Amino acid sequence: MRITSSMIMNTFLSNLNNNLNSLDRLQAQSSSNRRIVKISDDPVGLLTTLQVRDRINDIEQYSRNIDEANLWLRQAENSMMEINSIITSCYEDVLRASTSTMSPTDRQAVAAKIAQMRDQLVNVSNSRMNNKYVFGGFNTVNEPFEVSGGVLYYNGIDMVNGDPVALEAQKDQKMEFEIASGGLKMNVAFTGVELLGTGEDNLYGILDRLYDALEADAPGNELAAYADVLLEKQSEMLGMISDAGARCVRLDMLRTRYEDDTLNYTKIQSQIEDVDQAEVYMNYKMAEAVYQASLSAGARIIQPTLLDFL
Amino acid sequence: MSSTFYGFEVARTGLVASQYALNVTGHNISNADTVGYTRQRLLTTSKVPAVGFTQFALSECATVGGGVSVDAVNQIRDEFLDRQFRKENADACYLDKLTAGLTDIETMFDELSSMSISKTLSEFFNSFQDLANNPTDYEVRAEVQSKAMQLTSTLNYYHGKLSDQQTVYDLSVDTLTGKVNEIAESIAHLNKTIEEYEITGETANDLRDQRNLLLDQLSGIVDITYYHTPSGQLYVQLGGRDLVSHTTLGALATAQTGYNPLTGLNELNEVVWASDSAAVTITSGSLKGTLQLRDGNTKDEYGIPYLVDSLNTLVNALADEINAVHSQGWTLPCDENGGASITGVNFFDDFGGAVPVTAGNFKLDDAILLTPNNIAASDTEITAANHQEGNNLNAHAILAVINSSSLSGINNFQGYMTTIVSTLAIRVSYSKNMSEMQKVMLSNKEASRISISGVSIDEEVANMLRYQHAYNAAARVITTMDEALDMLINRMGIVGR
Repeated sequence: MRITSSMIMNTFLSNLNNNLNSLDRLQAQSSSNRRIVKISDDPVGLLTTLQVRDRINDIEQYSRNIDEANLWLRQAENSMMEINSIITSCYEDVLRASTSTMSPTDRQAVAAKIAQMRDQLVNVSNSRMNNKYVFGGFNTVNEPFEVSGGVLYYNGIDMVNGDPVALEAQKDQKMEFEIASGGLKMNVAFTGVELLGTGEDNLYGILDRLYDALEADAPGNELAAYADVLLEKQSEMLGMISDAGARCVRLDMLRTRYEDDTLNYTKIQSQIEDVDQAEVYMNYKMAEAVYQASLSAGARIIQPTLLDFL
Repeated sequence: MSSTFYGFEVARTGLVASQYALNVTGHNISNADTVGYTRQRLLTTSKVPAVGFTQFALSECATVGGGVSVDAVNQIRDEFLDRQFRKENADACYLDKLTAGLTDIETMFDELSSMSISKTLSEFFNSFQDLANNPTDYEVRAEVQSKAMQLTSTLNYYHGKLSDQQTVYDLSVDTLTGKVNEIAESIAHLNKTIEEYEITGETANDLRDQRNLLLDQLSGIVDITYYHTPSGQLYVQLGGRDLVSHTTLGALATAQTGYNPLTGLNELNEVVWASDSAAVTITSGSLKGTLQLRDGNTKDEYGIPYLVDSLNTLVNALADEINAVHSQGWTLPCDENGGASITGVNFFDDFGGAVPVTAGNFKLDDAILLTPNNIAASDTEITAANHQEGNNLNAHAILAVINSSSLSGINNFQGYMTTIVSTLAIRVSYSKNMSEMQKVMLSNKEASRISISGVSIDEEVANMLRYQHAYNAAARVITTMDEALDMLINRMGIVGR
């Protein structure tokens, strides 16, 4: 093949340009610390990393949801523990009062204490987390429990004589948090209906009647019956507390798993998106050497012509 | 018997030929770097003996040839390589234009940066999760509103940028069409000049170089074919019709009748034949690249309309699916609604169905813009008797749509966005690779062409020495003959003088 100087020049220039291009690319990678500087640099990696990013984003959101759910559960748990101690204290008082040795005056004193406990119960049942009532179902902005004329109202419904269907429907107002992909949700709240029970045997009603009985100086065996009812209530309450505890444990486990997942996914993301500086630097040095070699070779080939030797 | 001075004449032709050859060499060296220059060569033949037709040979010496005759100055050029080069050049310019355009778009779609559509989409969806967690908090609602506004304005921004870019390509179509006309006209003009010049029998080497260069340039813009008639006239064709028929120009024009998928109007520059407004078939070249960027709306013919169409699909799905659920829910009571909870509120503005929702006009419904309390998180009316401010069931229903993988047309919002981005990435990367390959191919053809037609300084210098020596030798022949005649005329027959 006949070779002319312009051919050599063209080849030299186009190769020099290629070398400069790779220097430029490596330089961009190194200074931006991004392996994928432009999305077409690695379409397959891009697809993976976009999916991983979505996943990390989801996990971060679910972790936040779990934190929030935990707050609700802890608040509910604390309030239920408080209610439990109210029941315990009332139970002890009833046992003491049911003995025949107690004088009517002392029973009056116990009655006053029960009345205090009864009011305390309403207070605790109206407990709040971040200004939201935790036992009100979807009613988070107004006090769910209200006593009017000695009758306990929950979300405006009479807890004793209210429509049983309406009361039952209140249980559907579950405050749920999405905690995993696929729309998996966890119910974190206990409604007032579940908390205190409905009908004659709601906790407030029991304490109210106990108070009346003590005031009326009822016989010991009648009082002792209240102790049994209270025990029953207590076991219900403990059941709910352990339920809340179990949910907290599940949330914590999920939270830990999410932390591991985040670590793993971040690692994958970093592998695809981030630059291995040492490797890029090595490559850069290599490209630089090639570039300089091509410059010096070009300078030697292009310079001389036949004229130089005549 | 030949003439006494016959030898002078023979040597003189040698002197003339060498001088002529030196001139040609000088021309070559002067044009060593002229674009489109084809090296020239002096064609010489030896002269037959000057005897004419006689029945008998006059003498033996009469068969000596008459020296050298200068016939022509020739170009060394391979027509076949020219054709190949021009064909590859059209494809190379098409891919180059396409790649440059797609790279511009790609730079815009930096989905790995912090301000990408994917990112704003995720943040918008996250804000709905927070809403489900805290349906009563005004701050959380305001966050949903602001993230949604961020999403709509980001999509508006991309739509705006893409349609600006499309307008640039549309102007470029007009410019390139003008350029085709300009070059074609120059070719027609040159055809005329060359014909006039060559009527004498000479070859218009340098004019032909100019014409070849113009053909090279033209082949980069549109995919031309061309042929020479037996009488040497050049015809250039585009899409089967004559662009240049010898000295006549078949001009192109642009008509503002092309359908624009972005606006739905017939407003784009359409390339037509000026004479009868028939559409021009263009299949390669930078004009084709520009047309594809402007009009391409399929996966194979990837262009701005395809990308905008994908974004519109996403936006429509967002508006349709989220509105369908959102309008079922109930808002938080607020002063703007006279303290009442209302239902049937759209989240995104659907313009009452009067105009299609696009990435360009995508916005929140006026009710949502009015107050974030109008975001319907509850599935039940909130009244004084039924305090369900904390009801988040509709927010969960919206989340179910967001998480769904079976939405009609797009399957999943984020998944679809990822598809849009990765399709773009694949197209750009494919186009880049193809363009690189085509450039290698083109430079190969260019190298073969230069190999034959290009000026080599070394070769010319070597030739220069050769011609110099030939000239010197011819001069020496004359000197020698002169001496011989001097001997004959002046010094013969003077014995004893």
